[in-house]
Amino acid sequence: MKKPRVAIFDFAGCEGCQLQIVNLEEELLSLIEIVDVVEWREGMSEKNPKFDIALIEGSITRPEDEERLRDIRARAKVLVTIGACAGTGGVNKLRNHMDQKVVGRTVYGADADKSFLQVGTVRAIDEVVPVDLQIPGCPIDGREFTRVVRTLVLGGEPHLPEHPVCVECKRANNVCRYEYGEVCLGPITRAGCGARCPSFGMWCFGCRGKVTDPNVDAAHTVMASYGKTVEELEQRLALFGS
Amino acid sequence: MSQLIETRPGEDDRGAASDAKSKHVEVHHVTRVEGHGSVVLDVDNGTVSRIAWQVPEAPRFFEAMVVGKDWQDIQTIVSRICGICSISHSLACIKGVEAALGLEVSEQTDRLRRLAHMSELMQSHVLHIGYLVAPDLLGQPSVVPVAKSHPELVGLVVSLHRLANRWSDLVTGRTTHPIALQPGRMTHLPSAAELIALQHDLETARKSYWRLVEAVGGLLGGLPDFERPTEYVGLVDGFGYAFYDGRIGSSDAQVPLPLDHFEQACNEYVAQDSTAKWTRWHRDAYAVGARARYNLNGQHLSPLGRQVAQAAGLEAHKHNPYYNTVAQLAELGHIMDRGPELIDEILAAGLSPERPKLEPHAGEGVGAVEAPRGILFHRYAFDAKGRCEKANLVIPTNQNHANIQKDMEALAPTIIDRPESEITLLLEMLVRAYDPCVSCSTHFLDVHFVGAKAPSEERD
Amino acid sequence: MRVVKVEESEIASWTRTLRQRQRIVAVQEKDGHFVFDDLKSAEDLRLDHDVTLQPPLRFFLPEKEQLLSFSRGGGYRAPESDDKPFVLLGVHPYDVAAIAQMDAVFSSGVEDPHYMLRRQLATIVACDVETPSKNVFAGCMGTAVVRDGYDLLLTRVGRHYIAESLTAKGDALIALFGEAVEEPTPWDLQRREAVWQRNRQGLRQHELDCPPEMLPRLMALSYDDKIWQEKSQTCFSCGSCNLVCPTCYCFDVEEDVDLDLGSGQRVRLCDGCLLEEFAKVAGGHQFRSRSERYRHRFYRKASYMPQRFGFVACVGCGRCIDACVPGIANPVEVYNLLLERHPEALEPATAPVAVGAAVATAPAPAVATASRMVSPTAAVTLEPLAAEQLLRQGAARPTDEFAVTDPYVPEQATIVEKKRVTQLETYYKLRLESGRKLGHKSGQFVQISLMGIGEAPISISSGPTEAPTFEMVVRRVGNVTEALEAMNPGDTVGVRGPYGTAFPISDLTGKNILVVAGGIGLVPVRSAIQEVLSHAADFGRLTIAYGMREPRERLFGDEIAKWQKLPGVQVLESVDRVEGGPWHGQVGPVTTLLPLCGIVPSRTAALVCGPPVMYRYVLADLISMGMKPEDIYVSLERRMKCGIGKCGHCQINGVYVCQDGPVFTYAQVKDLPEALS
Repeated sequence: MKKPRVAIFDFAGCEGCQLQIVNLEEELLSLIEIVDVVEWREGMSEKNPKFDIALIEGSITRPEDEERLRDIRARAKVLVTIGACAGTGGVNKLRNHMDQKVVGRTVYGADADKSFLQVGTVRAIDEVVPVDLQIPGCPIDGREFTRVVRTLVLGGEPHLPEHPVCVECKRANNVCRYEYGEVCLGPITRAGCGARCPSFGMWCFGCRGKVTDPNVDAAHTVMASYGKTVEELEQRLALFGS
Repeated sequence: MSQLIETRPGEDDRGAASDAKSKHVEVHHVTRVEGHGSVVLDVDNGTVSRIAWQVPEAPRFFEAMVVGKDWQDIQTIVSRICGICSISHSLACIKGVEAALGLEVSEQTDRLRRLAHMSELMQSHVLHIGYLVAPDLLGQPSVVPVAKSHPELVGLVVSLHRLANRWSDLVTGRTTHPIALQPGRMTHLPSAAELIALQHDLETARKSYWRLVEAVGGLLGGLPDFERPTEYVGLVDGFGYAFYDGRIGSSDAQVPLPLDHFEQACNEYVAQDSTAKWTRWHRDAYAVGARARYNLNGQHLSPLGRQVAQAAGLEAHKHNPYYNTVAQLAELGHIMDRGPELIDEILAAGLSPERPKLEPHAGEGVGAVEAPRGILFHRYAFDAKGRCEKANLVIPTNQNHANIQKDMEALAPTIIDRPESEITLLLEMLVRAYDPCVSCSTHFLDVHFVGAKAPSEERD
Repeated sequence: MRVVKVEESEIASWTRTLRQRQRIVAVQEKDGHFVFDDLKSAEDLRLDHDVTLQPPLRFFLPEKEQLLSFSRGGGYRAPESDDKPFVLLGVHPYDVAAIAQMDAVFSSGVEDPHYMLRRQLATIVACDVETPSKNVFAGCMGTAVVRDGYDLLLTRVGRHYIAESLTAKGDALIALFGEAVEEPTPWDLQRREAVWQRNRQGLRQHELDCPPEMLPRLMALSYDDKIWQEKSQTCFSCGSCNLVCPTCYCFDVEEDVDLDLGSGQRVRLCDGCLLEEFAKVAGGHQFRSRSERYRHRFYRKASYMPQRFGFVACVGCGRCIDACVPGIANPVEVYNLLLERHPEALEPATAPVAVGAAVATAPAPAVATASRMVSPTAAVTLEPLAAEQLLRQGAARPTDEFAVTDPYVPEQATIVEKKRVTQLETYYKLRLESGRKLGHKSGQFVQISLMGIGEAPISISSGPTEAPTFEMVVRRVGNVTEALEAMNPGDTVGVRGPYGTAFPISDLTGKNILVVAGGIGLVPVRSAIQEVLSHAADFGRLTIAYGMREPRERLFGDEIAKWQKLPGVQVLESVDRVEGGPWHGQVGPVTTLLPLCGIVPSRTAALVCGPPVMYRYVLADLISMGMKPEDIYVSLERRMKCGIGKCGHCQINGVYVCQDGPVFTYAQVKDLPEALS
């Protein structure tokens, strides 16, 4: 069986998702036995115009990004986004809610009007090209990543959990964050991370995006019973472009 | 220069016969650096007509995005500036938030944060040395072929990287975008048993570290010989090798600046036609990072750090930008010494759960740490409800851009008579040596050349 | 059986001594709450806890455990167990009752070796509740105090504990107190009785308005109540109520291949029926909406489990109430509301209240056997549930030696023949590597494993036979069936089974057999057709009505031609629309063939198999033609993971399709609202 060729690309993001691939450590060395990584700017100088699977990290913010993305889409058989920035826009999207001119002036002051400082709104990858699979998370979970890769190499269709983080929180024997009066997005966020944040004492930020059928209305309704407002919930939901 | 700088197989090799008349070197998106940066060199009739370090990283406007957000959500957002140094961003952030809101933390929290910080330094330095720079020293395009040609070396790098990640996962929950680091508190405590196990493994890893030092040390002859008088900026505290706290020191200044005055040190300005906000202090550029830290605080390195610095000849080359990587190697030794010591302190004090009451009020403050790549500043202002009113973040790589440019301007004329492939490699290696974290550079702009010709139009 | 008294200060040193001999899993504090965890230091023991986050069931059915490992060339292997004997210390009475219930579940039908092994290795030290938790209502459920199901019981009276052993293990634990024991006085025992009384009365933070044994009757009346919609408006389908429950045991199964792609393992994970994927099949059809899933949990506890096992599967621990963020999980609240709306549930039962005739009401006090007729509208009334009674009648004690071959581990079979028969379907003939015959009956299914991909239930398409082969026709709908398609003769797959109920062909001798098959439904009934034809003389006419969507979906064309030629056999076919191939026959749904079959209802048995939508119309037509529900057999499918009635995924209301089906009479399923939707 020929090894699938994998190329890794990034746009506007922190490259943390790619780092999770590096963080596979020895497993990464095993991974490159079953796939051929033919291009990966962050870690390799090799390049290759031909590949089967494209992994994309980061959001689209400028016309030239869009161009580069369309070219990648045309060359890839399977396009997989890794991480929230590529999947939903992630934290980058926070700026879409703002007045762009105000944003520019905040950062650049009087220089804000220079033409090379103009940028458009942030878009997720699937707002520009069709996407075959999304690996969620901010950052992605390394184990989920290798599971997806293994499934793809075996010719299968990877499935992500369709249930919320609460399942994994309970399996981890955690105390529910709502007991501490925190607004936790676990009940409407897709599982697959092992409920890592609640396991370390924080509420879930929803970085993996919503489950298949989230009951966001329920989230609004229950806020009051925990002394929180819908506005606080909305602020939290906005953090990762949900 | 060394025998290791050879033409890489398959590369175009124009002008191999030392024709210095006209050359064009363009590296679009330098590989093996974090983020997107490009290099352009034009040589006309034997002189450098243009040398530019360009950063076409898409701007991300974090300073605007945190405005209006709750003080408890700032860390979540700004951690995402960078995937490799998110712990440093988180620490600078929460210290800044605490300074603004008048919150103090316990000694336990302070120690755990320092412990977390060290783990990131180790993780990032090992990554840089092993994955990003070592291939150049071995004449390879990436760690992938090195894994085949030097499996033991790669094995060492991977095992040290794994240990560093385990360390940061233990203390913060996750290396990239840490969880437990929040303003005013740690949300989770490692157990004593876990810390003891980590300490044991760090001590055992000293052997692997030393073998890495020997392996890399044997390749240092491959580093180009280049120096340029440079101002170095970093944290200083007068008694140690400052990573976590201190004041802003400069090799050009007798008296360090308080953190709250960092804008006086950084002096950001939008660069003409180039791509970044640059910074300057006493000269037209300055360097931050391991080399800067060594120049400022090298005498305070721990015994193992000093031993490695000596063995690698760091002192003699401390003004050579390519030796930034070697300074990182020495800093690793310092961390291998200090990490277990700090764990001892934490264990001696005992770990106890804390749930402090934290109430925000209006204020403004600054937090700073030495990220792996250099000194990092976060300033925040909050209203009485704890909503962020403004933010100003100055990133280490920001602060290096001007210096990289100046280094290239000085280096380029001395190498233009070499084959283009060799020039390319030397320029790339210079950029890599700084270990730039380009996507951190939140102020970076688009690369459209306003008023200048596009590179392709200038080719002979 | 011994009863002794010890000073409370002795507990710590006793624990220390015990810990030197065996692993102790005990209740300890965590973040202001309580959990069961390995006990590192005797000082951490908290017998005064109110409730643990997770039930002690987790130590018999862990969150995640390996079912098997596999490697190419090495086949499938049962996991090596490195479990050792351990003491479970600090189990509250309601949890003891729950463990007894789970014993009954995992020892019934096909015994689960993993659960049973751990159960055998465990010594249970129960302790009476000292601090009521916020939501406990065990007093209402008869589980505030139990007098059976543990090895040792510790009850605090003042500054002493009374320790009572019921088993040899318990006696051995008492012996570890050494000289520190005293004989309890009658006054001590009275004080203990007072603790029990206090708990029976006090562990009632919520007051149930009826005796728990009336709950099945209440559920029989409440299936269509609006409460399920109302309450589930704010349900997140997060599964928290399932995952903290001591009597929830459904699990999911996942395949995990290693990076070498040649070896790996299959694991099971605690699952919950509230979750979105729980009742979805490959292909995406969702069998239960959110409000239906919400309802299902209550029916499991108060209707289906009681009918199957004889106990209400709720011990009043209150964990679901604690865990539910939107606060909709409180069973007492739900039951009380339903009682208000259906007060007739409390009236003395003179006649069954249930809709539909085919309901088995187990004559009290016998335990209802695992019958197929577990219906949500069955008005079963149980005897008063004294926990002691429940434990004695329901709980199967694990035997000391159980030589059960691991039912989760497949055996290998070789693909002998493979042929693509339509665009989506492929025919396979398989032979077990051991050479033995599968020993299946018509209508049964097997679980087919593809190494590294997973497992899927596949109907057997060939009749019972002495030959060592069997046949399948498989439609490609998901990862397993796609991977199967990539296999070739000579390759091996894993096989478990055969499972399920069969078309009872040998009971139908003398009758005319009518087979109604829709599309791929012809695949399972072909086994029955072959069986009938192999004893054709024993039966009357055989009529096959085969409907397809389009001609190109036609299966078994050659065989149909052969069947046509046999005496006493008539094959009628129709297509919904004529596309993708020539067709000169009937056009219309399969129901248009029924009038042409010349059915004599009193002498006919009908075997019906097809997609869900077909059943409604065909069954309605057969009934209106005069057929009786008990003479009509259907074959249903659901998502399956274990095939042996444990994982819970294939439930249709209270019925397990893998055990009680897939073949049912229409009589059995017409009162199952979820069966033919």
